[in-house]
Amino acid sequence: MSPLLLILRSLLHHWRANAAVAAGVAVGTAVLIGALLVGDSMRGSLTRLAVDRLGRVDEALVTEHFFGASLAEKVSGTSTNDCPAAPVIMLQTAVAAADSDAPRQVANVKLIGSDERFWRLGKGGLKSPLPAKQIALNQPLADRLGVRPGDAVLLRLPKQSAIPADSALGRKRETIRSQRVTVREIIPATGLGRFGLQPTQQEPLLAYVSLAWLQEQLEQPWRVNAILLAGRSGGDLRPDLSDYGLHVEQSPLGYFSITSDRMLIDPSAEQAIRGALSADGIHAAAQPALTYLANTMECNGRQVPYSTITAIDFQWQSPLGPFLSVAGIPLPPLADDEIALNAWTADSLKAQIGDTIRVTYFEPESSDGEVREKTVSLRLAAIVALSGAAADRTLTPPVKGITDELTMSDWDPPFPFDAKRIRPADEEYWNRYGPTPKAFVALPTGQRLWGSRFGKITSLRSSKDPTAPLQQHLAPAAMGFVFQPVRQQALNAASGTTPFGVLFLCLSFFLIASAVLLVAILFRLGLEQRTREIGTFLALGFTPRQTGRLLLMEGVIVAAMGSGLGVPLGVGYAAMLLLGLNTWWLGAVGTPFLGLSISPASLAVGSLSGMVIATVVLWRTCALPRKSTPRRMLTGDLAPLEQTLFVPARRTKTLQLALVLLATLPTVVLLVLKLDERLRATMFFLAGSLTLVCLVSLVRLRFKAGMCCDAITPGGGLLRLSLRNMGRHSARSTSTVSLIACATFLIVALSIFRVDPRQGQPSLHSGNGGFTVVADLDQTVTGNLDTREGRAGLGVRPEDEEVLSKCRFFPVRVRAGDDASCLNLYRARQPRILGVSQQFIERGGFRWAESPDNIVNPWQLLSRRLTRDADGVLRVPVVLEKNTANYALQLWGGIGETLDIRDGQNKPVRLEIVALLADSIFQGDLLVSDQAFLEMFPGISGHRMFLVEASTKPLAEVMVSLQQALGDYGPVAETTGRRQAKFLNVQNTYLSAFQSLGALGLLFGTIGIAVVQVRNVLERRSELALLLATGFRRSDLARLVLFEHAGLLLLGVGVGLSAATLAVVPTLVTRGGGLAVLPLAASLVAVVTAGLAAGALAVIAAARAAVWSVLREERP
Amino acid sequence: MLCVEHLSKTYLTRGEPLEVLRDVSLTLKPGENVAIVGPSGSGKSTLLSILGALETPTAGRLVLDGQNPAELDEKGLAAFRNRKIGFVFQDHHLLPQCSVLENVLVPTVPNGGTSAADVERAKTLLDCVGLSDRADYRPAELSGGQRQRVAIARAMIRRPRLVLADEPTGNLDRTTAAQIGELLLELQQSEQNVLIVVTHSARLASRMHRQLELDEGVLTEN
Repeated sequence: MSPLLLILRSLLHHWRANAAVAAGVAVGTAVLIGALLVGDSMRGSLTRLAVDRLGRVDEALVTEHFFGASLAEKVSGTSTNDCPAAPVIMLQTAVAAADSDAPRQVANVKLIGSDERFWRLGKGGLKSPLPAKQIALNQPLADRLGVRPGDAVLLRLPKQSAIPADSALGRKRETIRSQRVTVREIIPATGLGRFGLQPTQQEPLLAYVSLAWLQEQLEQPWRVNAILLAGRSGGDLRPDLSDYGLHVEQSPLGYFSITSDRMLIDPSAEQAIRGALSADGIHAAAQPALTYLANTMECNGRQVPYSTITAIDFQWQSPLGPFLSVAGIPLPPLADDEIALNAWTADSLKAQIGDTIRVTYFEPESSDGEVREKTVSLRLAAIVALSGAAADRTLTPPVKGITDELTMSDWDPPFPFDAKRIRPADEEYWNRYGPTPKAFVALPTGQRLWGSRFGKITSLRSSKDPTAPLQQHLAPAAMGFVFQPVRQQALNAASGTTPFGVLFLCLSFFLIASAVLLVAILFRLGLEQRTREIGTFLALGFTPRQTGRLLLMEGVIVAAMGSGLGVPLGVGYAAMLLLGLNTWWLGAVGTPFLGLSISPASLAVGSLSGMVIATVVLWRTCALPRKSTPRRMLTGDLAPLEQTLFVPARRTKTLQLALVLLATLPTVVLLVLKLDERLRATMFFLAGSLTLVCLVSLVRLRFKAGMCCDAITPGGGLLRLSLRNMGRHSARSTSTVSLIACATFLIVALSIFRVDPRQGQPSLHSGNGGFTVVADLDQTVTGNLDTREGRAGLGVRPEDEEVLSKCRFFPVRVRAGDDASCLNLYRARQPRILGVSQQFIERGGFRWAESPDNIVNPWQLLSRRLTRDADGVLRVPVVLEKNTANYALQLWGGIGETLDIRDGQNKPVRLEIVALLADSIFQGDLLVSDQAFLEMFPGISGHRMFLVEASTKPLAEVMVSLQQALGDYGPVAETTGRRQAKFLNVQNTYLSAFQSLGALGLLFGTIGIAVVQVRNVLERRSELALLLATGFRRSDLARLVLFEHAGLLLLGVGVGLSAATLAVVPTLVTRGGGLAVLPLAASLVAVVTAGLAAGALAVIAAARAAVWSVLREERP
Repeated sequence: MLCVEHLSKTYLTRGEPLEVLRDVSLTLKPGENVAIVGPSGSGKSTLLSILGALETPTAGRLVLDGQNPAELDEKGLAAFRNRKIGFVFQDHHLLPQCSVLENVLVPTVPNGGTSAADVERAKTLLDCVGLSDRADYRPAELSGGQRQRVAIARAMIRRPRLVLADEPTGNLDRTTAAQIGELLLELQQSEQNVLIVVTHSARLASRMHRQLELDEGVLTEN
């Protein structure tokens, strides 16, 4: 005989009870495994999706400007494994159904111009190459447009201009053109049919055209803006200077000039060029020059229109100098307020040395598409001979529509231009000297007047040929040419923002708790059946510890078997959850893409955890042998005699009072203390849980003390007897009450988090900030929608003008980025950045989750002066939504926390959180001031988002007018309520999932309740039979049992309801609003009904158990 | 030698304290056997539980073979019960999951485990109680008398110094009860331990060396 044999014998003998416990453990384990597998499946599905949409693409080079497509061939040849590379053009655009009765335009479409090299990178190709003016659409886009092969669609193509729209010479109007094309093919949204570099599980809207045709349409022959590479680039990227938009040309005077096709050489490029030249010793000899357009030069009442002025430091050495006076003397450097005119201009203005020259010019940076003139007065310090270095037309960089025109009257500039001002003399000058500068100022003067975020020089001049040094030393990364490891990034992003395993563990919390409770109940019932056996062990000389250990070992084996059984059940549970996420809870993931992934680690962790939890529960229960005397146990009674005979009433009352006070304390604390949102949410659950525990303990105490009334009184009836019986097995009754109380608490408490987005009317201090409509655009708009002139410039029709004139528009700059909202399951690397105007900042509004106490309008914090940290990194104040900070970006530190991102030149920028929004329309976005935005992304012009305040007109009319006014720019206009609803839908879906799984938990719980109740009845067979013998009817016995059961249920509902009410009151008082009482009541009725259904089993058992023969039965 | 001195037991209740045993004293030598009789509720079973170290007295002391169980810790107390005391209950309290032989051997499991000698002794005891041919049976397959014989064999397996029998024949018919009584006495005499039998059976009581009566907690010699 050995302990093991004893255990095995018990295991087999009590197999029914053990099987029930094992089943409970299996359920608990299945829930744990299922939740972990959902996490695995989420990661697995996101990874599968990422790999599928990227095809064979490992790395991608995407630039802001076009470059030579031949670079792809060079990359392919120099990459480590001679990898195929596909040059493509990728644009965001809008597509409209051309022949549709109702105008149907779909924005946010990714247009891919490609050739056969692209289609070799993945699955899901075209049947045949696309000819010109033909387009292929992926299925989601075709569905949205409602088109079929053969139908015509309109493509909105942005006119490409190297010169930024916000610069004076940038094109601000007519930046979009429409092109009618025919749908040739519709491809499914798989493989390259859902190609995209941005990680998202949402189905993208894709359109494909021939690369050559698109290059022709965009006037970018042989040029592309992206290379997709299957394999690793190997880091040996050698673009030509022309790929950077740089040109080196030798002037007729013999020097070499470096210019940019963006007219201005941007500061980062200038820095890189200077660095490259330094490496070859040319830097010191390089001479920067800035040439700008003066609208008017005026002196002595005479004017010269449209002249170029060059800011340059005069050099004496050839070929960059000398600049000679009309007397042939080299000119000294000019002072800051001085100007030098060439002889022709001085003569034209009849200007003398010392005269004041008034120079009128456009401000170098415009906003809202409006250029403003400015005038500066400079003293004429010298008159330059129109010969030699001063007669150099290459000082003016080529500008399309200006420098390439034969006459000045033919100019087609993007700025307001009055051809009538051109005089014959001006034409003659143009004819002889072209864009040769008519005046000169010192370089610092010119840079002060005409330098901008787009650059401070138009050329760098050198006596030596800089081509070779630039080719050799110019770092591609510094020029924005970096291959991004998109596959690796996608795989990293697939780890997701939400730990779904943990999330579903939390969502399944009640289910797990029910299973644990079920295991505890079943095991305890099993042990209670074996009380006499335990007593025998103790009487025969086993210590309580030894006895407990025997029972525990038996329980561990049962738990192990249960957890093993839980593995296949867990896989089934995971499959069920995934089915839920792909169907009922689709709102949480957006698209049904989830498939089951099974990781052995999760199976092992889940089953082990299930076993450990069960073992802990069993261990607690195995302490039973210590709770009574062997003698009592030998008689089958677990409770010590003293406990059944003596209750210190005074102590109980004190304890009860203490529990009541403790239960209400958290509510009082929450009401009195001003806690922030984060602490309040934490306190909510802590307070609720504490209150629940206190109230359940109170109930337990009452059960142990006996219920508060006499069992049998004159006219008392069955009810009083039932009340007394409820306390008969205090532990069992408390378990039942706890379960129902937990269910009620969760249902009521969670309802407060369910927000109806339709209730959200525009209000300044709400999540919509008082805005009614938000419009995102595919293309930037440089016009000002807030002025009549601006709207007229954008071509707004009179009928729309009437509607839009009554709205206020707040333009927002946009730097595209990863979707960091809850709609995207992938981990965002660099979220979208929004630049808000000073007007917006001063307006204020929105609801704040965290903001400094002493600040009335936290938006003002964005206007704080930009600083640099000790490591030289720019520090920028940022506002974002709390949910985005916490969950998408894992920033839990609140205000003061920093996030490092990359600016437009790929340099690090440190964003510092200054305030956090609550439940806003900006979920997923990082908001900075306009000034900070332009500091970080100087190359981005115009606005791609508008926030609209519309007060009078019906919103539908505003939306239609807005769509009409901005139609070419691909607007996606929606009400702020709808935008918030999309985010809230995710939250509400998770709540639904939680409540559904909670209901499932309740189902398991009711099984436990039913088992307890049936067991109670069976134990009381002789008592019931006795009542029958004394004249009770069977229906009386059924009612007696039903009253007991219903009493426990109602007590549970009451406790849960009280705890939930105490927990939610502070939130309701702070936040306002109310609870949806009807659905709540329905849920509670469902809880009680489920509980009563379980109790019905006990009633049936009671009716059957009461038989005379029981009274004659011997004890077992 | 069993020496009981001024033993009393009181339970606290909602009303007055319930005094179950009052100043009980008793001395028994090895080989002696005694019957304790008395009306229901007189405290017989409580006395037996205290003598068997299943309960502690409120006052007084009990010494068996020079050891006072009240001075032992939980572990020592279990060992004391295991080595010094054998129990025979009215309800046999056999483990339904174990065979007859295994039931007899159950007391050998704690404190070192079952040895071959234990198995041999168990078989001998089963032979003594006439159940050697039922060694592999389960309790459910035995009659009431046979179950009680197994319980007696189990009580003797550790060669206890004190055997306590609480109504050992209470659930048996007259003939079987007589056989069980004889068996108990035979084994007690052969083992030379102290036997205390609590019984309502005058016939069984008369077979004992001494008859004591317990009435309202007071023990007197008949």
